[in-house]
Amino acid sequence: MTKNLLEIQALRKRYGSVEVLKGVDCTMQQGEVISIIGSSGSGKTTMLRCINMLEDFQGGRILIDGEPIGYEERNGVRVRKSEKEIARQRALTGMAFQQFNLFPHMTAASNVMLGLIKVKKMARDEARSVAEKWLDRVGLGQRADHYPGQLSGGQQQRVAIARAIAMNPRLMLFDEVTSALDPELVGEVLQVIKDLAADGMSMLLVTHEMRFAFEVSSRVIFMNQGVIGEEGDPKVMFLKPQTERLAEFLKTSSFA
Amino acid sequence: MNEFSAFLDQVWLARFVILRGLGLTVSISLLAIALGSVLGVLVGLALTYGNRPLRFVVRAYTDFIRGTPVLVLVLASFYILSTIGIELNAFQAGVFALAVFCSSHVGEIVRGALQAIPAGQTEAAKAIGLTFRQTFTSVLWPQALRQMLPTWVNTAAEMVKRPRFCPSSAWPSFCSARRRSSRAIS
Repeated sequence: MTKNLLEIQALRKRYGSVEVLKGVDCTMQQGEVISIIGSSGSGKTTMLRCINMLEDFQGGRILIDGEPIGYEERNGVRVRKSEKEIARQRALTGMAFQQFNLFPHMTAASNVMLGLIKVKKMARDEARSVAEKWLDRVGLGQRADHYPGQLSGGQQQRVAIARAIAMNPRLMLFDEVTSALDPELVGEVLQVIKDLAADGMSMLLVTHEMRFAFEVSSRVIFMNQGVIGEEGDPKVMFLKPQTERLAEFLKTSSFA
Repeated sequence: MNEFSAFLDQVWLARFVILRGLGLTVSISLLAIALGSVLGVLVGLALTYGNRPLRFVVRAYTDFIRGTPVLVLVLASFYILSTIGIELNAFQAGVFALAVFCSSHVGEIVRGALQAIPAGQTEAAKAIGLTFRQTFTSVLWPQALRQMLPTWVNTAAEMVKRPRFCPSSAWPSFCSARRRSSRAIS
């Protein structure tokens, strides 16, 4: 049996008295592309954010390459790992955000270089050439010295993806990366993600683009009220949904 | 017209006193701005990132200082500090009081600038594996600095106008010197 790249066991997360994740179990193999769909409030973004510890979680375990993320058992007590250790583990995954979150005071190239220099301890010249390579890959080689404010939304999002992927993560997390974009800019970002998928990058995507999820995913997870409602092959999921809840969700979504 | 030339005569007669006052104002202000800004950055950091007890103490400090008139602060540093064995001359007391005043304002400016940065910036920095210290120095502080520069300049300008409150009996500052000299002439 192949080793799991990602393993989520009985993941529980609450905000105050509201339980957002009520025991999520999920495994993922190297090279898989998994889309997470579901209505808002179903916990899909929260699950993604737990994987790189942008959110603390109260129960269960998340393992990347068998290594427990964020928490460890010490004398039978569950404790949060040190900030330094968590920072190191966060670099195992790359994340692209709905709002891009580029650093506005840095050029596109510097945005990509920051992590390479500070975390990977690369020399400046080396970091620059890695940054240029990835900006080329997302079609922005000519924009390396532009500031985020001088780029369109689609271009900013592509820089943000380059910034995450340049760190050479084991797993890429995409959090509704096209939701803040004008419709005509969505395509260029999805194309970048498709290219990465074709390269064999392992990816976990939270998305509202059902057509895209259908085309690119090797597996789809439908989140419903804090648990996985249904999961499986996209053809089965979209064309012959097994649960009533998923059928209902697909009817109201843009998938046609 | 006659009155105006009489005024100019007085200014001319008092030119050395006025210039000395001007120099004093400038040096008190510059020292107070420099010290106050350094202290203010620390105050701002404590207000933003400090734990609860630290935040409480520093919040009390800024609110108290900001709510106290500068004249009272100056007089307090000159007269009250001497009762607990800290003897400041008028110049030192002026710099001290204004620096303290400046620090509370700069502290709020720093806090505001840091808190105005969207949370997404910190999250993006975390996501590429930066520690808090790296996030602060590379991502948050450079942005906060740009944000707070205009307000900081305002506060600094305010500091230049305040030394008139410094004890004039011992060290005439620019304004009080002018007042005294015009009285002496008339």
